[in-house]
Amino acid sequence: MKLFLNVEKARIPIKQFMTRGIMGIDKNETIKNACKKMIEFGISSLAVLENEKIVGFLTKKDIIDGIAKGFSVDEKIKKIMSKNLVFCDSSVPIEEVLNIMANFQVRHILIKEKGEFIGIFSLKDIIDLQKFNLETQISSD
Amino acid sequence: MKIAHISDTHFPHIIKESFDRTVEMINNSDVDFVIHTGDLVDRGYLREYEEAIKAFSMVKKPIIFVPGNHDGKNVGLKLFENLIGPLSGVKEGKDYVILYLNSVIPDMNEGRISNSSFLWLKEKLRKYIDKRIKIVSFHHHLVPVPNTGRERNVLFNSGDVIDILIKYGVNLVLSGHKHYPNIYQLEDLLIVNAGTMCSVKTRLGDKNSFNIIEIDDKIRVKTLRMDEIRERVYTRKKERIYNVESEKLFRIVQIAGTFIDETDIFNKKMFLNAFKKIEELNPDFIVHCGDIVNEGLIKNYALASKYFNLPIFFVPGPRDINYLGYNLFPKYFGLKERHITKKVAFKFLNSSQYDSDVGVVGRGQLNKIKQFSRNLSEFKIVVLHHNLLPIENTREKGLLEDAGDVLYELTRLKIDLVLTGHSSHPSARKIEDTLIVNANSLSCKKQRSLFGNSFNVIDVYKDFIYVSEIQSLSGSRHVLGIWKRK
Ligand SMILES: [Fe+2]
Ligand SMILES: [Fe+2]
Repeated sequence: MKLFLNVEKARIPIKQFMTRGIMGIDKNETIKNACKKMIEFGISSLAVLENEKIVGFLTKKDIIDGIAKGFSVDEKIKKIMSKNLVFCDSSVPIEEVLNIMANFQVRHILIKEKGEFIGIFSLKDIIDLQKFNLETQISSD
Repeated sequence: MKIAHISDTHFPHIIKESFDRTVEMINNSDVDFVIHTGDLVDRGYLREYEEAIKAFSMVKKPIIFVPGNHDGKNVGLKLFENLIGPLSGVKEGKDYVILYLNSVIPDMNEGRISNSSFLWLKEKLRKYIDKRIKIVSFHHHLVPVPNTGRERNVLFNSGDVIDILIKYGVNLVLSGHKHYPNIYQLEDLLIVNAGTMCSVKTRLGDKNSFNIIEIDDKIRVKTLRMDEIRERVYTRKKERIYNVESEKLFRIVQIAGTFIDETDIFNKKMFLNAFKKIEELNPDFIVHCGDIVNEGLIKNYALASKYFNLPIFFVPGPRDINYLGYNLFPKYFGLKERHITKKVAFKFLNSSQYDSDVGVVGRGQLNKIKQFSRNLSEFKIVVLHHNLLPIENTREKGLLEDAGDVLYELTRLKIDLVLTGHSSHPSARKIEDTLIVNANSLSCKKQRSLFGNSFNVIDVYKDFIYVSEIQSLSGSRHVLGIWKRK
């Protein structure tokens, strides 16, 4: 299998790989609604907003953990969101970003530029590319 | 910072009055430096270079000369290097960097950023990523320019160049070549083409012109023709966070390149999986941007008619109308001209020509787009097969031959969305106020994306447009982009 992240690519700034724009949800919305929105937009994380500013982050994993702990789906997402935001600057090379993500044990990272949040990078994006490599190898009979 | 952007002097065929006046204006202005975006001379001869050098000795500001295709005629680039300066280079300031490079293929009018130049550009963009202002310059135009006739000589690989310029956050591209001044904002990248400073070779009886570009927190581009001044001011877009609570208006599934056939160029499994997913997505509209069948043969059309059970709007690709397809397409799929509701209006174009890969919209259809743009729908969409913008990972051959004029009209009319389906690679870019989305091939073995065969889902919300790509095989979804609505 061809490795997607070769040495040359590892030095490329994360800006090249991130998704521009961040989907956000108000912190007083319910867990249930957050689930609906994740499905609607086909994503597994949402920025949590207070007056349109990012105050937290909510992933599929946070929701599963929350439900397992006994939170009802009608409770507000602010109760289960991560308050510590993991982010880096858009010029950081992807290999470093992957390190940061491993250190914090997260699958999504917010990207900042000139002090403002501008995008998001998710491990899923890289996995999807790998998956296609694998699938074409399997299906090339 | 202030730059004078001049171009296409074509010595010795100059209008002296235009040259002298421009030089006088530049000398009397507070510009920091001048950039000349190529075609300094007309035939690449020593005499011409000598004359140009003598004339430019009048300019009292530093000048960067970028080589053009005319400078390279008769092995002229050697003279250019010896007499004028390097073919590519870097000018660095405290908070800016200018990267200029050679896009000339000797003795050809077409341009190319060669492999090594492309790598050089990437390396420099990486090196200077933290500069607040990044400017890139080369001679050939990056996107089709209006009023310049057949669009056959943009850079071969402009799709890839656009891609890295946008991804690295370049602010400004300065080019020439077409002798017609034009400005487009493509995402956050401002694409500026200069007219000719002093050559007799103008288009449409246009006057000579040059640009003054002022950069602070905004970018101001002033185009100074010999008899008028036009100014436009650009600010970078700020909006980056989109609230999921925005009202959803409608969902479009955009597909292309199904290539239905009995041979294995048509990947049936891809097709069936993709359509299972499409039903699940429950779209309000499905639009097929062409190349429905592999070849325009009766057996393919008969087969295709069995495969499509959902209501779909079709526009033809070149594959659909070759051989007998010209007669079969209207019979089997019907070419609808438009579909108009209060919320959304579609205009469908046929850009394909019989037995030719070259696409054209033509004046007749362009006039119909103008009529269409007057309808009162809240959201206007134009659908065609061929590309209006160069697509990454492909050669520019998928562009319409009249892409320059069509792009100009669609953006001027503020069409909200344009859907295309050529080149087998997904792409989504906003140019001016118009979002242009291209679909990959849904089920053709020949496709160019690392993500594999796919189709697009375009969700229009009250405040934004959300575009994602879906893998035909696995149904896996990833976001191509989110754009704020005006
Ligand atoms: Fe020229
Ligand atoms: Fe030229």
